[in-house]
Amino acid sequence: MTSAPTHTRGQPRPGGGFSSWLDRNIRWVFPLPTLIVLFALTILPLVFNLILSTQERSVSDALPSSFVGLGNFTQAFSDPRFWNATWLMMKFTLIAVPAQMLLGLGLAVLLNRHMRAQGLVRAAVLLPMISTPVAVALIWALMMDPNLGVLNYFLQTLGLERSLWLADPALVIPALALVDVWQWTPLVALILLAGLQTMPDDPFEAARIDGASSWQAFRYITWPLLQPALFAALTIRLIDALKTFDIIEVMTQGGPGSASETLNVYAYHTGFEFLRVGYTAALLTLLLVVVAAVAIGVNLLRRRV
Amino acid sequence: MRNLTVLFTLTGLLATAPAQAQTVNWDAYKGTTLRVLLNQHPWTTAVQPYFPEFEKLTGIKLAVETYPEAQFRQKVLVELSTGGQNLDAFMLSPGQEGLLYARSGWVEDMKPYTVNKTLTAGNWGFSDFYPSVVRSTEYNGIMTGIPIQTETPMLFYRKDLLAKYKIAVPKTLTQLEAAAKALNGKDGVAGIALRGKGASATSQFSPYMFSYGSSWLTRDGQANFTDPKFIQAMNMYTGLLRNYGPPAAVTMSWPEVTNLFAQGKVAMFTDASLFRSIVDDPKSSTVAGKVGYAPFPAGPAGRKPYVTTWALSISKGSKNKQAAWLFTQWATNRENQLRVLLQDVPAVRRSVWNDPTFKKQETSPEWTQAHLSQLASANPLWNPPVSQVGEVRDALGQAIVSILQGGNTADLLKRAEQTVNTIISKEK
Repeated sequence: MTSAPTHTRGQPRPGGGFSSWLDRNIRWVFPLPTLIVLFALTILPLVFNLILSTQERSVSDALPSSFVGLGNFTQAFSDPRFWNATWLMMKFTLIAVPAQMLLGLGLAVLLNRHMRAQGLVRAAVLLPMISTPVAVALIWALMMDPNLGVLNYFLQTLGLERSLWLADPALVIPALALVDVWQWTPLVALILLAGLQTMPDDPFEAARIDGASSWQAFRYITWPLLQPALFAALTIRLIDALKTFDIIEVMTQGGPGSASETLNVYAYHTGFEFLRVGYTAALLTLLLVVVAAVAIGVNLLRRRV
Repeated sequence: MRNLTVLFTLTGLLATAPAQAQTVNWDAYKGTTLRVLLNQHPWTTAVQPYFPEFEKLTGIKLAVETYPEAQFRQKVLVELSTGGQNLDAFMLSPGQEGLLYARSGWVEDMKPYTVNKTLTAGNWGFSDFYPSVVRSTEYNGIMTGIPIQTETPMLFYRKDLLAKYKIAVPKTLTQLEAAAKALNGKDGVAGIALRGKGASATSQFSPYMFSYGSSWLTRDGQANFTDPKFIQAMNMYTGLLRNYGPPAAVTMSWPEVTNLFAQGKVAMFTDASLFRSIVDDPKSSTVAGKVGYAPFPAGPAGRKPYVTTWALSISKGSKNKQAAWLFTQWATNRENQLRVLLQDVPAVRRSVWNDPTFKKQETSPEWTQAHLSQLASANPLWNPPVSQVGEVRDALGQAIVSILQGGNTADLLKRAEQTVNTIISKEK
């Protein structure tokens, strides 16, 4: 071939030096800033955390530090408080997330109907979600106060027993889950509402002509079409619920005793109160494994459905 | 008119000049900016409005950050453990962090500063500080800070309720128990409130422990929780709370205890003297004016209060240590100590308690009396003397919660003792 190559878009200009290099590698150059930031803020800390988890280390050099290999992990597996924390994390998630999904679905179906003052109603429903979690937690803690709180006042007015709420070791996790449900149901509703609104009209029209009841239309058209949105909401909420920190730390600090000390809260205590950063790194690595496993599990389930 | 002002100013300068010129050059660090971390504490509220006076006097700029206590402690810890170069002065609670910070080499030893003739004004008067309070800042041979306020434990009670039911102010723990029993349920109040929330309860348990003649550690530095006197003290503390306390005691630290008292839901509580500023303030309390104060009741081993202190400290990594000392010196002078005392924050200087301004506005001589009478004999170990204070308090706190929930005191304390001994063995 002796003829000069015809120049087309995307091909390097002859003799262009840097600009031709740029042209050839543009798919790497554009995402580079993002990759650098991700590396610095996610990969590096993760690697550092893994290194730290193999050491017995305190924040102070006055306390001993040494390499312990997997020692922190074996210690965690024989630490009753670790198992307690893992169980409480699961318990919290298993109460909060299904309730959010159910209520969120109901709310989305309701909001999808045509009604008066639609915008206002939707905005009002979304309010809990946009409030600051710490503020939400403080207000709920005040309402649940067994001596001065308004919830016990309501219970008494209804002729029911006063409750200890957060002071009752058996009730503290459900009570915290209640706050989580109050705050995050709107998020589920919002995602599902978006799913509902993007549905095509034709299958519903066809169903109506064929004489399907509204339950049948929901069961055989809405439900299958809503699967992607449902799984998206489920994944987000599962991950978030497993690593809930703010409302628990604000409302109970893991108490009474360690009755609401989930894994994330326990790790915070071992790190910032007991100053054992090596052990904390190991606990957080285990938390990461659990969260990743759940996320992957949900994803696999979704492919099967 | 202007001339007259100048004349007055000049005379004023002449009158004070000799005393200061001999000692300290206040504007030697003009232009420096000091980064100061403070706890959101009544002391801070009382003194912070006057910081511009210091900036004017010295030409030093103060960059002050205040945080609620838990975040504050964490922030200081993180900054000091990473070198503390950007931190100059900060509040320190020596009984909590003193040993760890001193052993880690994170704080300046304040002793040399207090005797430095070029940096310290002759009229600052360190001898004016209560010796027991100064001693409570010393760990590992280092004076970790200059005290700014101090607390002793006290019995707070409702004068109206005790009068109504003809109950004498308890002088011993036995009388305290009897009074709590007699008052419990009367007029819708609980007999007594104490901290029951895990780790936070341990510090307020300490005077009960001292008063029963026990201590945190044995002579050879092991946890002393199975000492029969320790168990008796724990039974007294948790028994008061279980039998005559409010529901949900296991979630109550000082904000909950003082709030409940301020809302008129409890007849008595024992906690730090500082909390007068909450429960006797008409703005925050419905029982203001009805609050009585008494020294901490005596136990079988006598009257054994603790003393806690907040101090101002200087970061070892600070690049402005001398300027930070000027700030510390100014903040702890007589004038500022009087200012905090006038806001019901217990001052650390003897002289201000006798100041005519304080005498004139003093509304509760019994509070003053109760606090001051306890200072001389007070024990600074309101926490176990270990570096891992947080972890040890947590271990004992877990036991306290379980006891309050009905567990066996001796068994739970034995388990806590083992946990604590493991922690201590790692420190050596």
